[in-house]
Amino acid sequence: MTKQRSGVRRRHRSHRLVAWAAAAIVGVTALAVAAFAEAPPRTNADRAHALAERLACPVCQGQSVAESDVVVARNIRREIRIWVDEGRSDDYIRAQLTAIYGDDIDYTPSASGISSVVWILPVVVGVTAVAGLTSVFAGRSPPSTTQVVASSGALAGAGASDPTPRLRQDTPAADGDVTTNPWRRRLSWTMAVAVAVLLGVLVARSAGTRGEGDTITGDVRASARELLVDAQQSFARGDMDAAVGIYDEVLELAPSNVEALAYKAWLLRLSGDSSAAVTLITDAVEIDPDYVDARVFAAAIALDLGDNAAAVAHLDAFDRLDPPTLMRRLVSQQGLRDAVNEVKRADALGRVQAVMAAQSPVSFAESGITPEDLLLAAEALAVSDRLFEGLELVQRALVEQPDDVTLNVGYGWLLGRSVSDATPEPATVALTFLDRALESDPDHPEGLVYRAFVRSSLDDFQGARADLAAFDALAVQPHRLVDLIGSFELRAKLEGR
Amino acid sequence: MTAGASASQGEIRSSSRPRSRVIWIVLPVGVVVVLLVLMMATSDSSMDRAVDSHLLGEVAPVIAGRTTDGEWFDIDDQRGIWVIVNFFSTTCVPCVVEHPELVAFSEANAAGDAVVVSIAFDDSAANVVDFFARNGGDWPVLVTDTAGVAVRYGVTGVPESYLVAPNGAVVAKIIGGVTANGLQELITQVSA
Repeated sequence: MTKQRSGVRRRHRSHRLVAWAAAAIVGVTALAVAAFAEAPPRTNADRAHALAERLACPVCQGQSVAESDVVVARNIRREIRIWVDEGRSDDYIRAQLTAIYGDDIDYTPSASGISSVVWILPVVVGVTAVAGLTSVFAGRSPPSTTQVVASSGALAGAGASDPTPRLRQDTPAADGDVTTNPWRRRLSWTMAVAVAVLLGVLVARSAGTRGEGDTITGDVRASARELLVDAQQSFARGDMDAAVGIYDEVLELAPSNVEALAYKAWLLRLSGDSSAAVTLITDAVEIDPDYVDARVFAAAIALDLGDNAAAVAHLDAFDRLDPPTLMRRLVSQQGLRDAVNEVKRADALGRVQAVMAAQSPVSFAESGITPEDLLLAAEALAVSDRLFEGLELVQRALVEQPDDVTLNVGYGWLLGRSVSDATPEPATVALTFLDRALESDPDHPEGLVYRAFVRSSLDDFQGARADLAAFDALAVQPHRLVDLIGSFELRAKLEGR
Repeated sequence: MTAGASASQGEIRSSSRPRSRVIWIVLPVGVVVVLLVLMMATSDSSMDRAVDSHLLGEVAPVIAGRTTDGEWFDIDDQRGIWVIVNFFSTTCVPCVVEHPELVAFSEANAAGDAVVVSIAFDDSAANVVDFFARNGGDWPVLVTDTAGVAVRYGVTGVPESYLVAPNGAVVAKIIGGVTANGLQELITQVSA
């Protein structure tokens, strides 16, 4: 009997060993897969999208930030992309947005406060359910208990008076019963496998998620930089399709990369698709308002789409950013400056004419028309062969504000530009107005450059050189004037004199 | 131990089992129901959230940029005066309706006690410039690079305004159109 019992125990022990060994194999395999055969790291774009999917659009019904196309959702998506590219953690981004829009927008509830209930509940319910199932299955185990009793009876019938089998009948939790109960065995197996799979999934998930400062984030940024170089090379070779493809790759890795956004927009614009480009370039400018390339592209795209005011705003911003020569050349080559100036002139002329039509006598100063507006309006008239009307307009303003430096400089330049070999007289008059302006403000950059041109036309080369020297000595030389001097090769002309 | 005693023990066991099973089912369900009721009872109502903001009492988020007039605006430069940060769109009817009120408020505070700054919400520079030319208003207006500002302020629709105190803290959020008198009263109320 003892031999048989120890045999049963050995069998039970081996069953248990097999069960735990199986669980260990599954667990170790899951961990090994997670550690060594890890899926390719998710890109920043994937991460940004996943985050947007886990956040509810604050103003939509049943749509996530990723799904919705309302302005609020679009703005949030852009901010998420920026934060992700900055290397912020998912927790940080969710915390920022829930602080702003409330906890309700987070589909992944907080693990603190009352919201933690939704995390605790499944565990409580699960544990209760397992306990309940165990209890139920334990209640359905009489057949196996009977088997034990029967075998005990058989053993007793064999002449043994050992009471142990009867005691075991009253203590069903004892070793023999547990291991011979098939339901309990299956339950143990199921739970072991479930725990192992759960562990594996958790490890795999944490391995695939990048947090703040993780090396994978750094690697991705490095590859984005490399890709940008490749894209620029493709662009330079004229292989636009390849360049667009590479910029797409960069945007997968770093969805808020302004260079990729701006240049992809530019390439789309070059292929005639300004409408598709506008979203990208808007994002680029929003993310980095000081990126000069994006400002140039944005101005060009806005002009294509007829949004002249936006084009003016972008080019004005560009001018304030101290742009490099290459981009200034691009602005010139693309005719952006001329186009924007034309827009500005037409706008100013429209407003000036509206004031003139509405008032008699006209007071520009009281109507909110600035000297700059008046000069732009006069320019608009001058370029459409109505120079005298333009001059008359500025003269009327000068009657109202005779000492205004801007008006004096502008009037002098309008006259000075009309000088030709056939009609040199206006140059002398122009000089009078420029002299008057520079007496009031000797460091007026436009005044100095325009007077240099006018003096040069009157063969006063020494005076012209002195004006250019004074201009060069200024703390800041506006690029527009530098370009003007360069385009008329004024310095070269003065050198030989 | 007799056979009779064993039988009675078995009866006791069999009669107690169904009851314990019922408890296992009823208990979790009961806990779930109680906790759900607790969650609903302690969460804010949507009405409360309408005027609530994470910014109240906090330093106003940065607003810095070039206005439509080409001037530089920085909300941090406005310390010492009240600032109405108004998010608007030219295509939004309530914004058009509230605009004369903002003009009146701005004119009433021309001495410099309070200033309005308008932030365009998903609008074009052309529309905004035209809107102000037609409807008046000479306060700073930011059109470009405003998406991040809108997110930082938690703007969900327009018009939406924030009152920033002279110390730079947000003291009120107003959803919907404002009136000149309403703003003035709000400032008086908050100052008190």
